[in-house]
Amino acid sequence: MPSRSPVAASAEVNPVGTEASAGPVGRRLPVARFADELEQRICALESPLEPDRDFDAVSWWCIGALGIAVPILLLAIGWWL
Amino acid sequence: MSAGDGPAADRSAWPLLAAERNWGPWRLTIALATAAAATWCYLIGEYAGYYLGFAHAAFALTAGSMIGMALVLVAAGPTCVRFGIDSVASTKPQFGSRGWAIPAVMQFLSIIGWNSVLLIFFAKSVAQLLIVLGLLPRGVGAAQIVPATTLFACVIVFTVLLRGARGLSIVSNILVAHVLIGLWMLYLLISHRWPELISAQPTLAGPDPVWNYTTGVEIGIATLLSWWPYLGAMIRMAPNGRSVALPVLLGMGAPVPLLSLIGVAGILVLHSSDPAEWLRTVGGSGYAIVALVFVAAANFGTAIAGIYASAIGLRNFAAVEKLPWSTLLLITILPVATVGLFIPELFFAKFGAFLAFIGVGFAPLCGIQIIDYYLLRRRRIDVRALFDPRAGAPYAFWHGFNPAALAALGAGCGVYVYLLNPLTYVSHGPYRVLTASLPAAAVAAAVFAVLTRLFIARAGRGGYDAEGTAADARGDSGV
Repeated sequence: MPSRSPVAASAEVNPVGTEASAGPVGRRLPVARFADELEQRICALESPLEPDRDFDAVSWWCIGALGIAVPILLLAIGWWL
Repeated sequence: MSAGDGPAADRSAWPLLAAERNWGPWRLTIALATAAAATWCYLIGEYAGYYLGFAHAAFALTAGSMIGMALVLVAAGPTCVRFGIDSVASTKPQFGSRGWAIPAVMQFLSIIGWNSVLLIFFAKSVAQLLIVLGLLPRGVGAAQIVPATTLFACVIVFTVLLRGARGLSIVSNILVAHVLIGLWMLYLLISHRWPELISAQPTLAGPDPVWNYTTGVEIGIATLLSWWPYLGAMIRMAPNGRSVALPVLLGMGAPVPLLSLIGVAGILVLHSSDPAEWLRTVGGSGYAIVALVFVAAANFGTAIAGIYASAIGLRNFAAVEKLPWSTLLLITILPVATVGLFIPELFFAKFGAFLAFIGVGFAPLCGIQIIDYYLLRRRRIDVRALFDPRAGAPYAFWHGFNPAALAALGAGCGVYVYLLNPLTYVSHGPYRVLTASLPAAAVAAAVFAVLTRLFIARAGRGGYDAEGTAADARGDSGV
């Protein structure tokens, strides 16, 4: 059993106060349905300190190049052959 | 409840935290490449080789695969990688707090189907290997070996996955070598049979070269769309979008078309896509043994990734949310074992229809996710609502279902089937220049956007504001 909860470890990076644990508009997940750990995880993700993990500009360049430009080029070359 | 009391995070559908998302780009690339490179590549290549010569098939399959992979990544990727959730959970904003069960069923059927094919192929390879090595007991044929070997493979998959994502990663590190063996086999065939390969004519090619070429592209797109169910469970282990994009596009998108060329070459030159058969022809039984070991290893790695992704997807159901991981694994593996034990040949024979079926469902699903995330919600996802099943929750819609998503999915599937009948390959309308998957995704996206703006948002459902964009919520990173 881990001596240290991953939730606690993450909370050091993304500290979450008690106010935040109530959720965006004071909504709190029903305790009977969700474990406290899930609640903590959601709070950590809702933290303003949580970085944006979405695709950045570099990712979009990769997607644009390998998902659009290169396939079009390949299709053109293949058809030309 | 402490972390130690509940299931480990990588064995649950809970969002993963930064400290738990420790797969770097290389680790992710290896896991994805191991998952992608499997025997289905030969079957995919075989289908393309019916319609196209080697060079055209190479370009069409590669281009189609890259387009399909990008579609899946752009659709499911952002939500999965931002919140550390799997593909099924990422559909909740579109399908609703209960409606996500539809993509979940699609995922389950897809993965179970693929894995049944792969494990049957694995069992066939082992049976052939035993025959080549002269180790098959007298009076025992491949027909008896296949069910028993499938069962054995299921037991091994179960044992490995008891360790969760770590087990998957360890096995991937070992089995990734088979990708290189696959490339060696391709080199072998090309170097030995190049003149025949270039001059070989596809047996089912129609009179219209554009239709043939488009069909090659469509096979590539539809095949890679089938990675939608797998993707989320693996990329959620990575920390952010940047560390995911290239591994997915190259690690998962490139091996499939490359190894599919083995099947293309095999079917064109030797009229068999199974490398175990033609490698014996090309290089004797020594090469055949290498091929059989390759096939076994390749399928095994993919099956492990598939069962893992499927088990994580099932975790979203409340009924199995708190089940022990071992029980959940059993539930996931049981259908595969049943198919392998009782109907392996029947299932194997229907693979073509199965492949087509995948494109029918996943193309519209991707279209819906893309239009919702980027246009309607403008990247705003309420992470709390993803796990809130209550009636008044933002993603509850009506009784947990979003009618716009259901209509869009139905419209997209209808468009696909009209453009390309997945069973007969009879096509209509603009299929010959547009494929079937891309219009199906586009129509589903358009239907979803129109219905959402006109009805869903105005009714105040789905967490949209009156203009049809996502209402602001704390905890998202929308712009």
